[in-house]
This record gives sequence, structure tokens and C-alpha cells, in this order.
Amino acid sequence: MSTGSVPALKVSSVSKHYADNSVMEGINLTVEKGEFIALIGASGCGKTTLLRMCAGLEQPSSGSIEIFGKPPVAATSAHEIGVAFQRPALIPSRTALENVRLTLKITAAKKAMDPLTLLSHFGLAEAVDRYPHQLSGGMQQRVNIACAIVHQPALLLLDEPFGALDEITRERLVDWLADVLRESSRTTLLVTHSVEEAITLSNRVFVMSHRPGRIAAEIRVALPSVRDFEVRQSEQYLDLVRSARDALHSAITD
Amino acid sequence: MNPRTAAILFVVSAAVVWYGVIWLGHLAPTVLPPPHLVLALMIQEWRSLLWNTSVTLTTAVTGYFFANVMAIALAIAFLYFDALKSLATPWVVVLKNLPIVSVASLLIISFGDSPIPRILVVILICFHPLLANLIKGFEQVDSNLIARFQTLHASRFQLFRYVLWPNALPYYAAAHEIAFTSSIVAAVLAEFFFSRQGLGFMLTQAMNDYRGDRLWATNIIIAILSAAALGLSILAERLLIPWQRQETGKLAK
Repeated sequence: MSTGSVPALKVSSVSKHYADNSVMEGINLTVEKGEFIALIGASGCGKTTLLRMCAGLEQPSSGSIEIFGKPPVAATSAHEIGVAFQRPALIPSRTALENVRLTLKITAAKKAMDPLTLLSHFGLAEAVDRYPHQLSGGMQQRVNIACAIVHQPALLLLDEPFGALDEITRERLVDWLADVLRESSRTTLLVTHSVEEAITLSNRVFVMSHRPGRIAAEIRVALPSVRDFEVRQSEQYLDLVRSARDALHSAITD
Repeated sequence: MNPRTAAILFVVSAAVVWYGVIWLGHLAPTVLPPPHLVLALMIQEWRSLLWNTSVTLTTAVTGYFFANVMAIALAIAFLYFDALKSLATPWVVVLKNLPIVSVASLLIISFGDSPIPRILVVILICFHPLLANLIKGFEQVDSNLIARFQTLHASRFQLFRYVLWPNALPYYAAAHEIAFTSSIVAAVLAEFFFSRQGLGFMLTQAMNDYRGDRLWATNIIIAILSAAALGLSILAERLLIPWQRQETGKLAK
């Protein structure tokens, strides 16, 4: 089966329960190859759980998830998934460069990027030999994302990667990520609670309702691929932000 | 203050206090021998002191080596076999909480006049802090890191080598500071109960003979050995976990 004919990610009727507590019900979504999808919702709506299930870290209670036609665990064993969490998952005893290299050592990826070039491209040329605690929060997150993409995964999963950063660093990193991912046209699922972040980065935005989480709305983001400051001041952009925010608000209150 | 200056100041002030106490209390050398008499004895009996020091050191280092091997092996076994951890925990707790003096006497009765009971006493005293810290180091791993490695389909061995072991290293190094100095005290304690050689034996002999100078000389050597053990532990910590040293340096600025 060629990867071109199957969706990059297919979530079919997925529900998740913990004991009597229903986290999400009947989630359906499809992500095509090369798409950037954002999943927004209030805290506790199950969006991170959904991402963890896509990464093979948790199992759905019912329904199925397929990544290029395979179950998530098979996709992880084929090293087709890259994940970056909100809190950078870096090894404290290894430098930035060593942390990125470690991903390659474990995955033994054949089509990998050069870690040094990648970090330089991420604006971290001066910081490659620093340990994680010697890096700022924004730098740690860039190394974290470098670790997630260095082995060229077919699907990138980002769990609120800028959630713990201050507003200015966050804005800068959103621009940076948009540039990085546009160049590689990598299929990406971003989980976030920031409407602006979702509209700036993605092709489609899924809005999740509160517990049990359901897909309450889908918004198509028909904006130019380069969403610079000018685009973000445009009426079209602001309308999209407004409608996403309205959808989010009614998803929470309904 | 520079630690070296502080150490010199400590030695000088200890001697001053020592002489001061003798002068103020009009104490006879049999009650509290002055430092120069102790020093003279150390020079005069250096062969015997050196020999007994080597005996104590051999016991301490051998016991400490086996305590480390056992602690590492058990901590790793507990990590992967929950049932073993549940089975072994009561044993570990009981062994840790038994009064070491009573255990030492039991060991001496069972093993007789050989280095084995003395080495076992060292193992019993040093083993627990090493095991407890290693377990803690394995448990306190960032769940994000584990998840990252799972999504990379890392093997159990890779997870241990790259995540669990480096995470446990600072805890393990911290345990050495307590456990390695304790190994000297443990060896002396074991010799104190039953031995015909070693610094502990010298202490009992000196007490029986009312030789304050020899008692003080032996105690000074024990203190030097303990301080050296602590120094070695700190040095090992710096070599084993250089990233922590940089962190400390950063905080100190």
C-alpha cells in the first residue's frame, strides 16, 4: 500500500474512559499527508490524551487510530512518529547536540538530518555544547523539537510545545516553527489551547468540547502559507480567530 | 571562604582548643594527653599504626565494594521485577533497623575470627543508603523522557542506559558521601568487637592499657580516613556527574 493513498492519521470513533470517567467520545478526524492540523480545547478536554493515543502511549477504550494505515505502535516501531511535549524531554546529562544525536542512535534512521546543521538552522549554533539547564526555556523547546524531527518522522505530534513560555518567546517560536515546518511540509498534529497559535500554524483547526471531549467544530484556515505580521493583522485572519474563539466558547458552554 | 583555608584554620584552632582545655583544666597527660605527645607516639609507633590502618582500610573497602555490587544489582532487579521488590522489602527493612551491635555479635559467633563478619558489618551498614538512593534515582525519572523514548521505540536496555542510569547517578553519588565515610566507621566498629588487628582493635587495647596517647592517635587516624573518604566521594561525584558541577557553579555566581 502506497503512503500516498492512505491518510497520514485516521482517528475513527475513538472513545476513552478511565473507570466511570469518560474523557472523550466518538472522535473522528483525518489528517492528509503534508497537512498541519491543530486541535484546540479547554484544559481537561482530552486533547493531550488523544495525542498520546496517536503516539501509542495510551490505548483507546474503543475505536481505532491508524498512522499511514498502521496502528500507532507499529508506526513508532517503524520510527514514523516524532513527539514534542510541553515540558522539553531532554536528558540533563547530555548536551543539546548529544540529545539530538541520541534520537538518531535509537532510531538508526537512514534519511536523518545532520544534528549539527539542524541545530544551527534552529538558531542554536552557539548552544550545541550546552547542557539543558544552561539553555533558556525557548532554546530547550527548540532542542526538544529538533529531537522530535531529526529522524525525519512522517508524522509530527506537538503537545502544547509553547505552553510554558512567556508571550514574546512564544510568538517568536510560533513564527520560527511555521518557517521550519513550511520548508519540510511535514504532516503535523498540534495540540494547543491558543487560538492564535492554531490559526497561525495550521491548515485546519479542530475544536474540542469539554468532557467528554468531542469534535465540536472544524475550521478551514484558507490563509497564505506565509503568515507574517501583516497577514496576522488582516481582517481574514482576525475573522478566523474570532470564529475559532466563538466555536471554542460554545464548545465549552454547550 | 576557600575550603583549603577553612581546613587549615580547623587544624590550627583544634590544636589551640586542645591545649587550652589542658591548661584551663590542669589536666594530666593520662587524662588528656597534649597534641605533641600524641604526635610523638604517632611517629614512634608509625609501623604498627600503618599496619593496623591498612587492615581497617582493607575491611572497609572490601565491604564497601560488595555493598555497592549488591545495592546496584538489587536496585536494578527491583526496577524490573515488582514481585522481587515486594518479597525483598521486608528483609531490607528488618536488616536496616536491626541494632548493628547485636547483629555484629551474631555474625562473630557464626563466622569466628575471620575477616568475613567484619566485612559483613560494613556491608550491612553501607548497603542501605546506596540501595535507597539508587531506587529513588530510578523512580524519579521525568515521565516525559520515558514517553519520548517509548515513541522512539527504544529498547529496555536503551531506556536504562540513556535515561534511568544517568538519572540515578546524582542520587548514587550523594549516597557515597554518607556510605563511604560510614564504611570506615563500620570497619572500626566491627574490629572493636572482635579482632586481633585493625584500628578498632587498637582502640580496645589502648583503653585496656589506659593509653590516652594511643587512643587519641588512633582516633585522629580514623578521623583522617573518614575525611579522606568524604573527599574521595566528592571527587568521584564531580567526575561522574560533570553537568551537575556546572549547574552548581552557575548558581554560585
